[in-house]
Amino acid sequence: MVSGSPDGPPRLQDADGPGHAAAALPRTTSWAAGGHMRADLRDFDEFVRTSSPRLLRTAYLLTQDEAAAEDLLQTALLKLWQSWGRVEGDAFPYARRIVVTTYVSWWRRLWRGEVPTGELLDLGEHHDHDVGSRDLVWSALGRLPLRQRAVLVLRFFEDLSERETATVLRISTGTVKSQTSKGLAQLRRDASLHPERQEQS
Amino acid sequence: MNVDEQDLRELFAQRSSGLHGDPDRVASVHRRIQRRRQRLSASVAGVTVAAAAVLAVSVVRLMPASVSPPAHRGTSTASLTSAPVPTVPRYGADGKLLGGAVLDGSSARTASFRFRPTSWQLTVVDQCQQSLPDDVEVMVAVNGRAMSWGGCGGASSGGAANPQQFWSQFGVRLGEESTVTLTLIPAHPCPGCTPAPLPSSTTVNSVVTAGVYQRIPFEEFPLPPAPRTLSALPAPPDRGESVSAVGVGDNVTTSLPASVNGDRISVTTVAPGDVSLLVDGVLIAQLSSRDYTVHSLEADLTVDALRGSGVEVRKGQAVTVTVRTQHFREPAWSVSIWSFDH
Repeated sequence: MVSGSPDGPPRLQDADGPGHAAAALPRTTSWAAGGHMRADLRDFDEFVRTSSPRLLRTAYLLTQDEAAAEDLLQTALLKLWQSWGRVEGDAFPYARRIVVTTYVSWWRRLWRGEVPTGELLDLGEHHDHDVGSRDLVWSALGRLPLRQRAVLVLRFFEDLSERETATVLRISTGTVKSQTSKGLAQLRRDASLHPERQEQS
Repeated sequence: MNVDEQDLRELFAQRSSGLHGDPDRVASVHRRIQRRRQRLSASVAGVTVAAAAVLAVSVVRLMPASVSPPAHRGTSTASLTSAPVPTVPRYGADGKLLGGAVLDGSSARTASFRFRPTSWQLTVVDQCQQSLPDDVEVMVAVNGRAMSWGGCGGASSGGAANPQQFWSQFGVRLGEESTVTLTLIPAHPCPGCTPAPLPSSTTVNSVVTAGVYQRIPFEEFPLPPAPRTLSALPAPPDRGESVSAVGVGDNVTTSLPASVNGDRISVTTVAPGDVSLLVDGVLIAQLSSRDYTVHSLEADLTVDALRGSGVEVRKGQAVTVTVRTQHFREPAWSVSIWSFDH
């Protein structure tokens, strides 16, 4: 009954013979076809280590909250891991797509704490004008619809083309154009960027 | 104030620069992923499971260990000297215990037990009474063939579509005895190789329990008492973000249109019951709950995933998703189909 000793594990008999221990599955996998996923586990860990900083930046620009960004990244990487065995070539675009689509599609349901940016900064004499302006734009970004925000992040942080952005979000390039235009227009209209309007109102 | 593209580029670069390369933050996320992924389980055949953490809990959740100890047929090599002695719950996943064992890492590296199944609806589940050290994992082998390894809280089942195929590759046969072996191994075994023995110098104070559960009729499963109020189901989809959604209900069969272009199906339950998903009549996934916690799974409608479940489709093809629910006594489930192509 006991097939090993306290000092060593049992010798595994792989279904495909020696050297094919990849028949073993990762703990989370219960279907036969997923056997190759375990073999790539270390690759996945390496990918996480090397790609997380960049993905986290994207997640932060989307969520505008460090904790939420971490949660989003974690959720996205877990999804990636589930399909890791089917990822071919550079996994980064795929991972980025998961981050963005997760955010757009259902992130807000899980992250109830998402709020548009919080306090506006006092643009007093102690503040550098550019820094203050950026804070206001940052606040205004937080008030954009999720998809518009995602389009802007992909276009102007990830430097994706309209076509690439469309692919990531699975929308048409026309929608990317219109969402970009609307997003920028909304930012320009945002009352917080026009203190004089706030005063008038 | 005018805002142009360049302003945004500078803003994004400036705002995100503080996060870039923060090793502590990245390491933190990495650790969380490792812990979470070790706990995830998929009872979904051939479907990409978007790993909501609650899914893991749903599959591996066991009845409280305070239920009467199992009749171990297997004997651990562990010497169970510390009190209280952990036990393997008699009921777990959606079934009843066929066999189980306790592995006390402080005194043993392996433990085994036997089980004799009479159906293919099996789930092997392991849990830890104390977390394993970061550099240690537990490997589960069935009949000498490695099935899985990872941290505490794993579960493996044959999936909804073809569990016989899954279990047969590990030499499991109905009516015959099979052996499950738990082995403590170094974390992150090298790809494609047999895990190395755990160095004898490694200290492990964790206790791992594992059991094989065979699905039993819903009526025979000892459900926990119902809470006064159920957990909330997900909010209805927002306009423009979904193709369709099914509201809550009890025992119904309903059909929804979908397309094989990356639509995503999301299932949530908050009470005991079963939800089966069929695509063009073929079972692709099933979510079984036997308690009142939130359980969920997500499945992507992609060509590869569906073909893996035996559904021959083409990209963009229209399909019918059928939702069958059973055993719900109250509105406690929801299914949504999400689309990103609009």
